[in-house]
Amino acid sequence: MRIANILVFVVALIALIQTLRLFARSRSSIRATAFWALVWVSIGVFGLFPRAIDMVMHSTMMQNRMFFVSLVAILILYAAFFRQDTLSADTRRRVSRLAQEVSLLRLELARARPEGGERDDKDNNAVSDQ
Amino acid sequence: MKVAITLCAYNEGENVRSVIERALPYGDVILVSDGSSDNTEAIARECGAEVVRHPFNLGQGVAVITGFKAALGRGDYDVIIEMDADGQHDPAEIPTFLDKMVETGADIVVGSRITGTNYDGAPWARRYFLPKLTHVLNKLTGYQMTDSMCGFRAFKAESVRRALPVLDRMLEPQYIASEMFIRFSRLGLTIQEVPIRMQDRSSGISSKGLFRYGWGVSRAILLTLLEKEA
Repeated sequence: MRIANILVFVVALIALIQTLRLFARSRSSIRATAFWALVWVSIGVFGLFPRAIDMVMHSTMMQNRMFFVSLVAILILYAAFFRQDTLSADTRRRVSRLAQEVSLLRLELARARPEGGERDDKDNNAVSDQ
Repeated sequence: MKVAITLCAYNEGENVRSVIERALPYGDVILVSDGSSDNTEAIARECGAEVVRHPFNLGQGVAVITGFKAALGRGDYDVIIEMDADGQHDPAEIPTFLDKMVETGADIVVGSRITGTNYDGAPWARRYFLPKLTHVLNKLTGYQMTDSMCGFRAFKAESVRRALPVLDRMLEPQYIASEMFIRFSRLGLTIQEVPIRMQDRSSGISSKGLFRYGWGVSRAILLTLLEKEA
């Protein structure tokens, strides 16, 4: 066993402990914890037993270890990106909903007071533009 | 039949006057200004449209839903027409939508640029990807559309009222069409199509990028399918 193998295992182990600590402090969701725990356990196992990579590689009909590792890394990055993007979309959606409610409320006010409605709306625009 | 025409506009000051003036004979116009910083809102008011203003740009999907809510807020419309404010849709075609709705009893009537005219002049990306995306949506929803992304549509107000709770839960409202049809099909709403004629934009440029749009639509479809049915 080479030093590099042990190093990869130690790094994966530290990352796994850190992931679990974040979960214990309620700073990450169970889904994120499960995802990252799986990633670090896989890296740790493959770091300690590189031949396991060959077994998985051959079962997926791949010839080149580098290609396999790169592919898995890309898939992990893609999953992380998708999750991050989904979280930010959720925040955007909440903000949008709030802004929409404000707009409709202003419309209702304008409808209720047709004479002054438009002037109020312009005043509000001036405030929001600042 | 009382008709509300909702237009979603983002900095369409150069096009909006002509669209509103041509649309007014067919119903009340409600313009949703999606954070416009030009004179879109002033022109719309001047032409007799009711204006709802988003404080900043929220995306077309949110603007469409705002338009629905603004129309339903009045409570007395039978039909809500949704169309673009950039001059690409001809308001003179609104009666075709209404006739189809009366004739078939459909909850929604969507315009089709593919069965309509002037489609050959469309950008290559639309000509290539639109039929494929529509095919996927048809498979998922059971509808028989030829153009799922056309923004010229007519909705029975009652159907919109029924669908509003699920539209409010839209996961990717920026890419409304694909997600909206999946949700409509879950509610059992019926759809018919009418051919429409696309016009060139009077001025300005479209703000939709192909790859960003493709990514957004794909994610919207995926997330909607993964979500538990209402």
